[in-house]
Amino acid sequence: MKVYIAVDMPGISGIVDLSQGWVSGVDYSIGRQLMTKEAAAAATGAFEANAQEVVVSDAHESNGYRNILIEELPEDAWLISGDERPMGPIEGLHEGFDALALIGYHARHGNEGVLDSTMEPNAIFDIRVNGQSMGHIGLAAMVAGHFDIPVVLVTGDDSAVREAQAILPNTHVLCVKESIGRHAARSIHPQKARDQIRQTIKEALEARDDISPFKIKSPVNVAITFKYTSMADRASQVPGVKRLEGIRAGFEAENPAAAYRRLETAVQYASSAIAANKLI
Amino acid sequence: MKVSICTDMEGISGIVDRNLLTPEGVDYERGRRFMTEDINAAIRGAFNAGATEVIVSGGHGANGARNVLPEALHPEAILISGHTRKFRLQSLDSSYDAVIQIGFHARHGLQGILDHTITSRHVREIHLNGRPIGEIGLNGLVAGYHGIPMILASGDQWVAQDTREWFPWAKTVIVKYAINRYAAKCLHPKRAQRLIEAESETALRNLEKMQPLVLKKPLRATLGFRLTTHAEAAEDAAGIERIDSCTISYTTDDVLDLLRTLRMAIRLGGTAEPRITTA
Repeated sequence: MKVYIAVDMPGISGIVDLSQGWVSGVDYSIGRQLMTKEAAAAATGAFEANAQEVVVSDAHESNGYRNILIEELPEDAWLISGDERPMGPIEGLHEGFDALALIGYHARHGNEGVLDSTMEPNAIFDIRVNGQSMGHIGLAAMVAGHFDIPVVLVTGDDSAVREAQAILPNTHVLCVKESIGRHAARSIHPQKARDQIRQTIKEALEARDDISPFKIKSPVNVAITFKYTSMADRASQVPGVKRLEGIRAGFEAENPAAAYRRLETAVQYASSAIAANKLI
Repeated sequence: MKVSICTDMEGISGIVDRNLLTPEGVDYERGRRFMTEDINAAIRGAFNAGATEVIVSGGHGANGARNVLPEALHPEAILISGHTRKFRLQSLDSSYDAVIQIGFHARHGLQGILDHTITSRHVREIHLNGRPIGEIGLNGLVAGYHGIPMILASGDQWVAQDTREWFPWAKTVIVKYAINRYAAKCLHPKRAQRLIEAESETALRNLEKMQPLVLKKPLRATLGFRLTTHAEAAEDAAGIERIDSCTISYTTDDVLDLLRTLRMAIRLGGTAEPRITTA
């Protein structure tokens, strides 16, 4: 059994703010410790469920996707680390994996939870795939679904968990904190979160045959709502991407993996307009 | 048996970007610890194979080539550290039996982690007798000059390719698989270090299968800079020929003369830098 574990930071127990999640934040060293330990707990649980190969992906963009401390992971785990990955947080997810787990994930932009965001909080308002609003959880699930990989587990705050349940009915979920606002939450103790993650991923992997991959209709229609028109201007310069109107751009792709790859490119190019907008 | 270990940082296990490579980086302390531990693994392998003396040349230009943590280094090893050396392995002599290269990066243009040749600031590529050569090749050439085989290199999968092209007999240890210049799928450092230790020992136990790299003379190197201004600054030195807008060449029979001259040409070319920073 091959298991891919993507680990983001906003949905880690104890994390409520960018001062813990961003490299220049005063509590970044605490934040990455909390993140690393949940990643290690998930990897350990996967090995206990008899995984032969466990690939952990650092799925938090701060510090160029280099937040997890590799030296504190189980020795048999791989770590995907570093920046400019064509498939962003889920780089390296492909046919052959038997399960995907999303640890420390967060709700999409506007879906009230701790650090709710969709891809780039300074540039993106909403991403719709075949008309349905999707955040990181849905986007990862659709790429996994394209490769027939089920999402077995999603952990994060109550808002992330609800978002997962709405589209992934049989996926196991674990809530490690209840959001009070975008920057506040009531967290269970990090040690408890780790113990529960280790146990829950084991149960989820054992139940993976009962969890169907998330399938969406192809060709895939993607519509992006940006924060400023300048971002839609840039996005619509990416080959295949069309200006819809005002602050929206979109495209059609042959399948969910191709859709996600083009989405990463469009969002990356659109985000290069952030600096320009700060000058207003 | 005397073993020389030549070191760099980009190909150390767990390292994928500059944050772990320069004193300003938030992860520099982790990077230098990883570096020291990978080197220790090679040292253990050398002693396991019967080495009586192991010398570590502390490479990687950041922080004046003082990146290895001396107090964490294997106590039986000797460390050469500090900057403004003429070229890598300048203290090597024919009393050594083998050279090992730990933590290297592929030459400019191979798609590995932080690929470059000497510096990515103003140098693009170096060709030697028509073939592209990087730091792994140049270091192994110095070893070959002294009659010493280069027997092992560690880094990503592109380091392995760079190594095979110049040293088909040498062992390679892949500690990470590059996804692009700044991202990789990494082995846990402990696993990487077990591989480095085992392969270093095996390489030394198979010394009779290894050979020194000796090239046909004369040696003709071409060095491609990024900008014309760099080549202009470098062509002022005696013996250096400007062959096109951004490229110089140098021809000699002497490997050490070649290495010294290339290093000097690169430093000279780099002096043009302040004039173009606004371009």
